[in-house]
Amino acid sequence: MSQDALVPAWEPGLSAQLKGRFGDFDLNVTFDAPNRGVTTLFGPPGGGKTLLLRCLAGLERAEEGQVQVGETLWQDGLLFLQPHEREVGCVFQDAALFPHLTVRGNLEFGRRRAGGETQLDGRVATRILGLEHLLDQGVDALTLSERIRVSIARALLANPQLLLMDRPLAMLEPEGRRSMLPYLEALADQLSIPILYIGDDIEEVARLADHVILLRDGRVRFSGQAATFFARAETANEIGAASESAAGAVLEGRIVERDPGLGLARVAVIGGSLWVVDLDPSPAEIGVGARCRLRVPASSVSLFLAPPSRSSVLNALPAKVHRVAMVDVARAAVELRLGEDGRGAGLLAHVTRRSLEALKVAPGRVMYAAVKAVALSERISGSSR
Amino acid sequence: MDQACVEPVWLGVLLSPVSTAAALVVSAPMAWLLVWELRGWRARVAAVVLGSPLVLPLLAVGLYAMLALASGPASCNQGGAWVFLSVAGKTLCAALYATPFVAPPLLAAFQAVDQRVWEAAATLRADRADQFWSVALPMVRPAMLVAGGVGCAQSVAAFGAMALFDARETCDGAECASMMNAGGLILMGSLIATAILRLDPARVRGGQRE
Repeated sequence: MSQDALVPAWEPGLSAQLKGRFGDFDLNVTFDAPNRGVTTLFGPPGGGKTLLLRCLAGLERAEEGQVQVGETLWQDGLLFLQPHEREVGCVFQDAALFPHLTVRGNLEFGRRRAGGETQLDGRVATRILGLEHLLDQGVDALTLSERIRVSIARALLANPQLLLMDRPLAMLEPEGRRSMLPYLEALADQLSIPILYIGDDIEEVARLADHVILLRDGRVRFSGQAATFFARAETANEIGAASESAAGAVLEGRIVERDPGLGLARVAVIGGSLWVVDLDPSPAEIGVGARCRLRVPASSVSLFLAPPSRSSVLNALPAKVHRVAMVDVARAAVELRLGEDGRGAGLLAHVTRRSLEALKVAPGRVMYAAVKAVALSERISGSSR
Repeated sequence: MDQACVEPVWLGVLLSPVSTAAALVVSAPMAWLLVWELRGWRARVAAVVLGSPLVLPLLAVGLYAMLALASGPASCNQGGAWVFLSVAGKTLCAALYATPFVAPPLLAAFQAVDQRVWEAAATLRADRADQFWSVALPMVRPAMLVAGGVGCAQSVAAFGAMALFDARETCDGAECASMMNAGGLILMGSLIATAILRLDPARVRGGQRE
């Protein structure tokens, strides 16, 4: 586990310590997750992500451990709450709707049993998830993405204090997955409970995650802010992503200027600002001020010793080299911090070893990071993080 | 048809739904418990016991049940080896006889439901009993129909068999012959019905899969 120095303090909403053998798999984890926002469980297949989620839901029992959600203890040496005794919400990959009930019946199932005030009003939840027109349908007639939305709403209406989502989008086509992301982002904004999310797709995780827990071989290898996680040189290797496109920093920013004529928007991030491709046709005044998130693939960042002139790159930002790590014999990953003082947001660049030596890239050196066009992700209008 | 012939038919038709209902009431929770509480070798033993009607001669279960009940004070012993049972006794016998036929389709249906559905129900605050009433029973409704049908046919067969024994012991001549005829016909008809109902395994699998 690594500690980040610049992490703002957050309140833990979930503290877990679980130790147990499951067949020949050994789970031994200790972590905290913030009480709001999406915490992504990430890591190579077979690392124990689903098992960990099932332990938290009470569907599996780790012999030793302690699970505390908010102020409530769910498990310790003596106590083990059964799944139905835990204020938990689960969203499974295949939705697992009740086929004998309508959409409304499914939604009411948990709400009736949980009782009390739900954090999200039923109408708000169905509106955010776009389910109003489906309430009286049987679940067999629903599309896959509708089924997933119903299962999310069903889990939320049971008023959970912890939301667990196991690859909710895995069965969707890439197109459907992209169309679901704004719903999830909007929900994450509205809820103030810990959300644990398993996602395998790096784009999906980069957009949703506020906090990342890297799990490998049943152990926590990293736990910290998403921005820190994605700006680390080792990340691409650790998540077992063979493709180069997997590496890339994630930047939080705010839209400060839009130019629909050129299809560009300027996004201010800590330590600088970037022009990004913005294909939203709405007028220039709309959307300015909205918070947004950018993923900058390491392969789209090049390094210069001086500001490049007359080139096709859209952005050239001063940045300080923070760390250099070899990816393989030929290539290195360079961790950068924006701004000449190196106090800005993290950026990650992949450069060849040859360039590394030619430019004498070393920690502490101020260089210019040229960032090719990256796209602004579409969001539900009006939502802000 | 004369009076002696009508009585067993009347009994069979009227009381087999009652004994089927009794068999269902016993079988459904039993099958539900088997799904959850029994693991490993105990599950296998239970499966053999439940499957026994397929292995044992068809009449064995009901016959032993009838003998057991007949030795009690409720029976009306007229000196012979075979006795008539009261109507309630006959109904109970038919229910006992039908139960092993009713439970397996329900067990199969519960087992065919995706495990995730139970897990979803559990994480939506439903305990086991709640899951049984609000998820399991409604989901296996098609299997309930099949189980009910098989159970009904088996009950009628049991009534027919009991009518045969009754006839042998209590009357003679034409009356006996026609009563045995009726009993035999009921028995045969319902066994054929059972065979047909059991033929289609897809109908026995009740729970719709995702």
